[in-house]
Amino acid sequence: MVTATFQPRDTNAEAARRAAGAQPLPPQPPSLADIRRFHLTGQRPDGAVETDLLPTALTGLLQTVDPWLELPIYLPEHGGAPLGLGRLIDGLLEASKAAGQPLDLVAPMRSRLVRLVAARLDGRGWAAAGETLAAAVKEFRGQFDVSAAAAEHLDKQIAVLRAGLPKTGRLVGLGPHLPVELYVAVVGRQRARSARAFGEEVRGLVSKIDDQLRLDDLHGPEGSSAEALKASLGAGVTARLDPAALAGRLNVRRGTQRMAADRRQRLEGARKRLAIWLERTTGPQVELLVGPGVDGVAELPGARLEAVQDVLRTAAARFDAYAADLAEVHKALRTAQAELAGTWEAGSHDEALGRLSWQGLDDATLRQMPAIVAVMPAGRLRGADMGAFFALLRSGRPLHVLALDQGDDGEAAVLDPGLGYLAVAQREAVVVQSLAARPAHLAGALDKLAEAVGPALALVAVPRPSKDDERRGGLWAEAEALLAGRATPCLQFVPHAGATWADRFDLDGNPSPEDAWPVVEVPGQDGLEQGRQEFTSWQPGRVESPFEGGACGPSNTTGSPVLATLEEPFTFAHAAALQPAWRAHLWTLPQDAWNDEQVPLAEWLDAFTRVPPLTVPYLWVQGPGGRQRAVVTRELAFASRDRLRLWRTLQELAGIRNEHARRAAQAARRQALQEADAALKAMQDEHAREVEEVRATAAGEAMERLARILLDLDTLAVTPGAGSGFGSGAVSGSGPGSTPGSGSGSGAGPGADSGGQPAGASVGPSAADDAGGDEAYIDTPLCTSCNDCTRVNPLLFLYDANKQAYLGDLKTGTYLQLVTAAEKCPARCIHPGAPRPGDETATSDVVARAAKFL
Amino acid sequence: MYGLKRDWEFEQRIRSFVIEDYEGATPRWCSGCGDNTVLTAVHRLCRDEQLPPEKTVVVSGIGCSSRFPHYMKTYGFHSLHGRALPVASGVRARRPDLNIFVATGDGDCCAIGTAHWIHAVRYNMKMVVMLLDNGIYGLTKKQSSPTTPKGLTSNTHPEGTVLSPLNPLSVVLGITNVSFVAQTVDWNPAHVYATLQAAHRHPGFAFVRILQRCPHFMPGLWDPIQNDPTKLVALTHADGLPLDPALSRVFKNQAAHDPSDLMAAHRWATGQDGIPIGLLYKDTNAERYDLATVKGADMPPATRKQAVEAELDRFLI
Repeated sequence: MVTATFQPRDTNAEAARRAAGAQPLPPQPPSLADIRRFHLTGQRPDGAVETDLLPTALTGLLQTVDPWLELPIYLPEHGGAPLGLGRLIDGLLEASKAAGQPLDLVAPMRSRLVRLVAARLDGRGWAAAGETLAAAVKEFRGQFDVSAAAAEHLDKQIAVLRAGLPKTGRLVGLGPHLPVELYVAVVGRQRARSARAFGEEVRGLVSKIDDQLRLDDLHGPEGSSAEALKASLGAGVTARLDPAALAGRLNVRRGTQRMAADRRQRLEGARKRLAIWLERTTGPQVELLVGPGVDGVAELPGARLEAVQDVLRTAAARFDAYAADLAEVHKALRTAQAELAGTWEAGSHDEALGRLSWQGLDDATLRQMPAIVAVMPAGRLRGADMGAFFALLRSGRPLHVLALDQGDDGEAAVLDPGLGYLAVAQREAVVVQSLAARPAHLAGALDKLAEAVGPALALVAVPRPSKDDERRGGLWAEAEALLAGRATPCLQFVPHAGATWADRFDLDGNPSPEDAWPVVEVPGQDGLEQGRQEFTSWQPGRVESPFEGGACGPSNTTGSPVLATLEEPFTFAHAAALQPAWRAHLWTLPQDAWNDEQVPLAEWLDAFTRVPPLTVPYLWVQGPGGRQRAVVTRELAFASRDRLRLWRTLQELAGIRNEHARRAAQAARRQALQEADAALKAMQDEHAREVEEVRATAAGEAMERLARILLDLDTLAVTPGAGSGFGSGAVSGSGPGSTPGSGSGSGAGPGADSGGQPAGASVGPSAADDAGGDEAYIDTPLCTSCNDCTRVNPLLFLYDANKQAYLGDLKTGTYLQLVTAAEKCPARCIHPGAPRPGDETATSDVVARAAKFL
Repeated sequence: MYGLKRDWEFEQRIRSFVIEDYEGATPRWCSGCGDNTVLTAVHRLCRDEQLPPEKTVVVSGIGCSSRFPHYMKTYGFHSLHGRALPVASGVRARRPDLNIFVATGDGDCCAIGTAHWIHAVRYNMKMVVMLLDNGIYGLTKKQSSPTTPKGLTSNTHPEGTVLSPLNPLSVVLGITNVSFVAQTVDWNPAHVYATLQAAHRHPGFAFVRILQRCPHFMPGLWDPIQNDPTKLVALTHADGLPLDPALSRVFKNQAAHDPSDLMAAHRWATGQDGIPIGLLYKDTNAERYDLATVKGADMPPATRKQAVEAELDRFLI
């Protein structure tokens, strides 16, 4: 490893030389000291800041996604699901193809059409879909230079395309407007649906109250008045009869009572309250409270928008007012329901409804109030409003906070992803983190907010639109880089989604969620050049490339050889290279300044355990002649490490690369191996012991046999065909009673045992069973509940909880009843057993009848 | 639909039903009649599934078994001869919230009610249909029914019936859109219960034929198989009826049968391989007519009234 001592360049001597009229020295490559000084302090000898850094890995990253599939996004007018314009057009193309009319001329140019639409969204960030698409299609057609014959064919296809494109709705491009529009579309749609259903229920209830009150009116004298009868019967009938006379006949009441005054008062009060509610539910179902610092959010259809200063406290106060109102509506609802059902109890209803607050309302009811959302910059939540924010989360109010994370230019805290993590730590709030550049993911995340039954935070990364053209790439490309660089990781935490953390937390939407950094394939030189061109075109509305004809990096760089494809981890520093706040933290080095002290940033981070490595990290950037190294300051390297550590934490929370799980698995594996080793050793020991035993026995037997042979005592005992007779007499003779001739008559064998049993003492199990057979019983599971036995004696024959018979107290019946019931039983499940002593009904005849049921 | 969180609820909403909540009048069936088994099984099923009595309705036609609704403390409809199924279909058409049981006999269903039977199977509306098949008209003192065994003497056939009996299983299995066919025997309460439970949980028209004894007019008809359970074949399968160990001991003769196999079900229904009990056929994806008929049933009263009046206005002169 190369080490270097910091030696500042003597700039005073150089200035003196120039003052003396000497020729300037040729440009010198940065020294080791210069590079190390830059790494530690961020100061370059020339004091320059590069403005057009383009990491080579970005080109590879952007080749993996199609920006024109999801953006701009189309929002249908009447609350349909949001859909990327590219997907919408793809659907049209597929449908035409399926219908046998493939739009073969248009299909390959889909991205171009979407790009033209996106260019028309600049400025406001959104536009009416019908007009915009019509204009874009017209421009799209104008870009084709085709022969007359082909033009006719093309025009037909354009006409089909135009007919299929939506005429209403809105198109929204990438910008701060997009998450707000999506929120209104997703959450507002859900609230509107919910409000419609609730409105129907309330309307039905009001209708029933009206019926009840009208009925009560009819019970009064005015109900049968001549006027009422006339109105009721109509002119045709009353022309032939006298309503007054009829009223006189009808107005004789026999016991019909009017509704009690307090009950009528309750019903009328409830009706009035519900009617007020119904009038209100026709308005927008989303209330946007926009705080300071949020630019570009305009009035939206389906939402009330209000600019406020103290956005969180205003949101809380607004919610409290709505919630109190909703609690009153619910009281009216319950009162009406109870009164109509005739279950009103003053004791319980008055007391319970009196203490009712919004905390007691269930989720479906709470969704009847407009969604109140605080729209504010994420920076405010990290700073001045953090206390109020967490107080709001702890309050349990189902408020939504839509925090737009656009970074804080010029501050080191830019793109700090820790806010979402902090909110997750609060445990009770729904937390989603997404980015505007991925509308499909964002819409899915906002669905979680729509279902949320408590506080919720949506933290959405939105690239800040370029004001002074200080950024060179497209906003979408920057957003993708921030996602890949773990600067704004996607996460979702839904506290009510399940019992375990795995159910509640996930990292869906992140590239390569299993890895520390996504590894991208960096194309060769041609691919890089093409990528440079493409990169600029991702900026909506930009036509010319700022990179064309210009140098990338310092002018003293030397060309690098053409490079082949390689793989490179995409780190936070790669994403930061595109951000103005971080540009001064990278320095592109000429090739003659490269040395072994410089290592790729990912390797540098891997080597950083407790103390930073002594090397200088770099990342590959794109120069006009090829890849070049851009060294990274310590501050940016540490920021990358910080993002990596947070990402690792999130991974562990999501169950990815969980060190605890790995250690537990390792310990379990170790224990299993130890147990297997122990078992193996025990078996080996046992085997060795048995082998030793057999060996000793065999040796003894052999010795005995040898002795017998030598002494010629029993040579004939070993004869061919005697089977296992090798020493069998001696061995088997030791068994208990197995060789009667050789036994000592000790009676230890089984035969001796059985023989030794005292006569008359053998009451075995079968005998016991026989004794049990004397007891009366019912095979209850077979009972068919026919009531025959219970009709014989309802005290003796009882039903269990399944309505199947069992025997009660035998003293409550006679043996004759038992036998009679057994004879009647169609299931044949009654068994009378033997008669009880002293039962006079147990005659020999009855006992004989019982015999077949024993 | 809308209300308080459960722990805030103050009205007693949690109800628990016991068997007595479903018991109506005391049955007046003959001593030893198999209807008792089925009635108790339905009582137990309602209790175990905790079906609210006011959300349960039993529909019957005419016959001994059709006295069933009288013995249930639920809603009931003792309808006309052979018309249990159209009545039940009508109930189902507009009241998807009700649990519907149909009690019908072999005369009620397989003779005068045959046309309704066929179309009810095809409609596949969710209900449990119990064919209590004792093979005789018992209520009217022993006339031959379509399922009366050949040669049996009765008041209508003093010299014995001439034709072989109709096989309800084969008939049902041959109807388009059939979705659930099972068979059980009344003398085994546990199997009756398990069969009815599976039928109740089936999302469609669940047809259960119950082989049933009539001790008065058909004494001893089923004695051979009641005394020797090995003559029955208990059909078993992971998707079929659960056969607990106790039943397995009783029904030793078992055979694996996939209830999604219609052709195999046809073969079992013929009885050539033994009298099958258990689930012969099940198709949970069969089309359901009641899903179409309930449309608009949740319309608010005011809207409905308005629609009716608008319709009537068309006939104004």
